Amino acid sequence: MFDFIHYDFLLRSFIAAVIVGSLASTVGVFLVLRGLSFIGAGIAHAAFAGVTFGFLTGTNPLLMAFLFSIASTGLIDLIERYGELKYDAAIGMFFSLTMALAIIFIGLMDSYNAEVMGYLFGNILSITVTDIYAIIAVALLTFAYVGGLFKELHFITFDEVLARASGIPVTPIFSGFLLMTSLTVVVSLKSVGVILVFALIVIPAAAAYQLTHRIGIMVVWAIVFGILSTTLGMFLSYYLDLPSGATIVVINSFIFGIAYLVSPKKKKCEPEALEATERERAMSRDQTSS
Amino acid sequence: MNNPLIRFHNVSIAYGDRLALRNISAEIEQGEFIGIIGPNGSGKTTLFLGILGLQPLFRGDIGVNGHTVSDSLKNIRESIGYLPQRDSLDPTVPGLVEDIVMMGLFSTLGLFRRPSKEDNMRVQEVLEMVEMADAIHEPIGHLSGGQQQRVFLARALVSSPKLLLLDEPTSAIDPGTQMRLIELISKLHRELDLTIMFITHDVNHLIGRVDRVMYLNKELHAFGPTAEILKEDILTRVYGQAVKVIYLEDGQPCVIVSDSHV
Repeated sequence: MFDFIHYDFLLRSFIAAVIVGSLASTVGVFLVLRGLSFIGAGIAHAAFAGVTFGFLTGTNPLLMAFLFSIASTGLIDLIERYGELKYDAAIGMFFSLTMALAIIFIGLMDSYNAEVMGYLFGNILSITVTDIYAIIAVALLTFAYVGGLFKELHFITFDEVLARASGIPVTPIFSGFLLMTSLTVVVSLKSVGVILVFALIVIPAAAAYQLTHRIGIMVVWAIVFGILSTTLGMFLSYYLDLPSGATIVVINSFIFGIAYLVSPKKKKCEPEALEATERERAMSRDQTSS
Repeated sequence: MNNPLIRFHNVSIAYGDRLALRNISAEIEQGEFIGIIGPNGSGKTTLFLGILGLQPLFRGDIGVNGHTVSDSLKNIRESIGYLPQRDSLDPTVPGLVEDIVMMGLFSTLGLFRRPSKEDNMRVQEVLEMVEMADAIHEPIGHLSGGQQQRVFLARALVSSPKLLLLDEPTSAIDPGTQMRLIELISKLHRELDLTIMFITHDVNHLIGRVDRVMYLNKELHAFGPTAEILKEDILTRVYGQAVKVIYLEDGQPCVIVSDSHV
């Protein structure tokens, strides 16, 4: 089972799985809670257009992926803010546009490029040393950002209007967070692929939401589920010769199923019991004040 | 009024090409309890957004505690506790009561800094003020509407503001809980010497509690002592329905809306 230590490529994959799993699930917590899960898919498709543009023009595909995803995220944000359009509609437009661009760029290539398809479906076993450096750099940046501004991100997620009224610089903080999300998606592409990176952002956070009422604990659970799914997925992919991205998503979904079944949030009080508690509190207050 | 806490000077606020508020000029003294009434879309919430700098002023300026919105928004925000309408928040976001109240201290804490032991003690203190200390470790989503409003009131109070802006704090809660919440707000007003601006659709909440009433409908139609404003002709204009003021056995006036249009 642990012979992977003797193979460099497996060790690299393991490191990538641990970091990508924790990174994607961390940003996923805030995206899921703000109802912006779909932006992960939008950024991934924009990044894929960048990758194909990079291969077409002979420029660095990951740099192009980053530039395309940043441009796309910025435009989605602008349209939502000034175009009086909701996020889901703006994301939907760019989701389709960037995928169309990617298809056009692939069509303009002289020959079939297997590496492009690798980005589409992901292969965690093909991670290089350079990829690892990029993943570590993005992880350090993102964890520092989210850790440093955790209380502000929680406030913005809970009540954006009040956060603004309190003087929290909501727009720069959330734009910075979307920048971190773009970087996370770009460095995760090779591991899980364009189509499935969305799942790595959403599912661990959604599973963690089932288990806690505290956002800090939700982040910890999401990281645990993210790492568990990516590492297990990587090993199963290697030993059973399965596609890694798809295996990771199936494991993630399985974890969500278990979290949903054991969720303490499902054990809700009956409305009558809640009303009774409220009445008791009110009576106790009345007695105290009289 | 020589040194008012709040001064509206010829304030107009627009949304795109539509004026939401026009030429509002008024002064409010430290410690006053002001009720704000007006039909839906009359600019009541917009007035609050203008004070908080969340909606830019099209014309004029607003001064709070010696600072103006145009010059020193940060100082103004630090002197205000704000309780927005309930639809702006998402109670499904994980958070305990203590986390939510602590949010009221974030702007003074600054970025990248964690709350101290003193901050935690302050949270405990304001939760005691609103009689919710026993719920400090409960998830906010588990509380009833009235209890949540008390927690949000604690959040507005935690930074020791001079001015409290309450935007329909009694909406969507049952009448008994409404009355207990209003009594609590009145008590806090008296004990903490707060200046309060209180938006409500139920004028009965204002009777016997507020010092003056502001009647807004795009413009400032009337602003004066409760007895002068809560009259049948004025209220009938506010709501577009015939309104009667009747007097109960204890002499307390009570406003009722009849079913005939005007």
